[in-house]
Amino acid sequence: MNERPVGALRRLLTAAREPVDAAGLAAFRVLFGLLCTVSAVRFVARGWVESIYLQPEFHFRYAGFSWIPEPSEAGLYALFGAMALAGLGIASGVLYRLSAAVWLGAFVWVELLEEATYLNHYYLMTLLGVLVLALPLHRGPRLPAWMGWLLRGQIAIVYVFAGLAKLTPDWLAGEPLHTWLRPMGDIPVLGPLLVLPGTAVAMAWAGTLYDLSIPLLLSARRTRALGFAAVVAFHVATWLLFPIGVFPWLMIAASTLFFAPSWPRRLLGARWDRVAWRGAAPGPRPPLGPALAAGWLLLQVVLPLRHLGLPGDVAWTGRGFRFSWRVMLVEKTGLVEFRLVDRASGATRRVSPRADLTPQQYKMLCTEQELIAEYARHLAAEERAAGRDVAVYADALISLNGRPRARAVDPSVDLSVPAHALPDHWIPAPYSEP
Amino acid sequence: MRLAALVALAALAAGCPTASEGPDVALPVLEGLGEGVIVPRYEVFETEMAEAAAAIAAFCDAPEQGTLDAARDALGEAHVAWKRSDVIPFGPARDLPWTIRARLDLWPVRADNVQELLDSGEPVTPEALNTTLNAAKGLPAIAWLLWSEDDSLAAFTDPDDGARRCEVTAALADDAAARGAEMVVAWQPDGDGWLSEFVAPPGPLAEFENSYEVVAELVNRMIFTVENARLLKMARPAGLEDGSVPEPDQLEARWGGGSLAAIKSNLDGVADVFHGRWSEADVPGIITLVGDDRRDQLASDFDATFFAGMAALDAIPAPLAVAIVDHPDSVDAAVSALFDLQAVLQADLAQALGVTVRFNDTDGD
Repeated sequence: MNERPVGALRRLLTAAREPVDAAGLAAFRVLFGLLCTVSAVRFVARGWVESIYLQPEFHFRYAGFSWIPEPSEAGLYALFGAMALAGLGIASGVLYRLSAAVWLGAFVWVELLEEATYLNHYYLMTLLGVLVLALPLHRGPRLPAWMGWLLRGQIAIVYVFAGLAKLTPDWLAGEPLHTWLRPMGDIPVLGPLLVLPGTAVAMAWAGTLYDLSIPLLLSARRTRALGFAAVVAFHVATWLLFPIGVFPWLMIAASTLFFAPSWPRRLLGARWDRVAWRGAAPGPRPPLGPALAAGWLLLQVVLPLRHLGLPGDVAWTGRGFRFSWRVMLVEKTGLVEFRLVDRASGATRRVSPRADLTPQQYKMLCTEQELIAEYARHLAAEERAAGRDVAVYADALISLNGRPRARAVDPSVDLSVPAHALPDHWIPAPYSEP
Repeated sequence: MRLAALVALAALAAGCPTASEGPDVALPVLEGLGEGVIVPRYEVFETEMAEAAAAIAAFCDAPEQGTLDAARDALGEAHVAWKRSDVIPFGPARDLPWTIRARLDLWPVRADNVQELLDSGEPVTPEALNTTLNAAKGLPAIAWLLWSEDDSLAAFTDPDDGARRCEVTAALADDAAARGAEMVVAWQPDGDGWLSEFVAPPGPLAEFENSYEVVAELVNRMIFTVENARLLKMARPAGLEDGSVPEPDQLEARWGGGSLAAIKSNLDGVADVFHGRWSEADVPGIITLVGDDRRDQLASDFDATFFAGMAALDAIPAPLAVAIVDHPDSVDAAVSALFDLQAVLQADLAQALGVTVRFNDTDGD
């Protein structure tokens, strides 16, 4: 084996294990924990527990997770209460591991209850929750360097893949930004600017450049201030313009991971040391730590690329769209109805799903082929429970990023069969795929 | 808070003079639709309903087949005129103190309630009708009175009950005509002025915060009007939704055979809003708000699916009450044809205008 790479790897491992100031990691822990609490309280305060989880009689479930039990009303509120308290535990470092475990368990449980509410920032919070649980961020004053690298790497992956995903003809031509900005014309002063033809294109290119460059800008000491200013400006602007919840604040908080490790101490002096940690850092970690971190990051690189191995344009089919940092890339609208054909009598009936779903569920159903198939199986199961054996067909028309609607699901395919036996029911994108 | 912050940000950027004077392109469209389509359509109904009330009074004065037919024709025309405004179910149609739609058009008719009113012998003065159940008055009740008996003329000339039937029918027609006039007054600037809510948001009632909300309301109503025409007015009564037997009594305009005409009028109303169509004086419709790159294609798609839907409706042998029993395939074909029209509105138009599709009012049914 060539000695040069081996030597480099050794040096890298040595540097990875080198203890460094953990003040910055503790600051991130505090910010993340507070955001966990705010997010849980905000969810309850806005009545979303009721409207998203309690009111619907049907929930879309992630493939393989239909077994997840549905908590009672009291149970759901208890989960959100636990998340809010656990967030405080994470932030303060009190009962840190227990808090991190409780928050992660409750958050993932709730997320798995309804696929139609998938958001990239919930996914990011889940990933960060895993890392917060795995890393002793409540300990100090020094921790191995690889722990900071791991968290920084996770955030850098989000930015880079979000940027790469924007390198599509649609995005670079200003869609769907143009569609989203058009109704904002009457916002005082800025409105007329937002609806100018070139604004969406300029914002799209700027957004792409931003995503691709931010990890570098934040990593280099000379450009860090510029990078942080860009982070704050970008995320405050997106918070103002689009309903994306706590995501902007999460990303601003995460950008502090790229600061010099001791930045909180520089800001707050010795006071920080008195409040930041709940115990001394553990001794030398097992050698597997850096390897596990590398494996985690490798997985995070592979997951967003999985759509390359799946047929069709990911924006149209939705296959490989989730868990890939494809943020704000598509505007889809559509209409779907189902036809149920009794296999015994041949009798046909129509089912319009709108009445049985929440507006959010209905919107997602109308635009995602996977959810259409899942709902078809739900209809077939309902019929089976009533003693009827039916085939289920879908009429589904979807419009993507301003294109005229097109049929998205083969109307001749019986969608009632189990997912693993379902023949390909996607109709290819009605445009030249990139 | 978000808007306040955005305004603050905007204030910081106020040094840019070109950005502060931008016209709201939706306002002329809303003004055109309000003044040039919605109010004139209501005025047509006001006129038609007044004529129907006069024809019913004339029938009661001289009850014979000729005057009965004239009364029925006049009511049918008024009904078609009214149904053209189904796409505008908000404002005075829905809100207090008017709630005109509920008082005028609660369908399917609750025959028991109308019969109770007949049998009660209670006065049917305008004041008394104000407190009468909505289910016992309005256009469906009048149609039931004019059509439901095998021998309607005999029912109106019956020595025992005929006079009461005439009295109630004429009073309900006058009440409906009063609602038509009330609707026009409610919208007119020199009346209750609801027009200003629509064309210059936010109006005094703050019904809409801005022009975008009005446009979003219109687009949603266009979608729901087509959806209701397909599902509520055809598929459900035909038993196509639950596989049950057809139920003609669940049809809109079951009595008088105006079900198909009402649906077509609904669709005409949708086209009015889409194209800004109103007799000789066209006004800019919703389609003019769509960007140049998509407008022609969308207008073409709308027209193609609209006329295909109308053709499918024409292919249903009238009346619909018979067709849902004897020709369900033709009804199913029309429901399918109008699916394409709904898709143009729900997928293409909604996206082109950045409108979120909300709940249909009938979803809770």
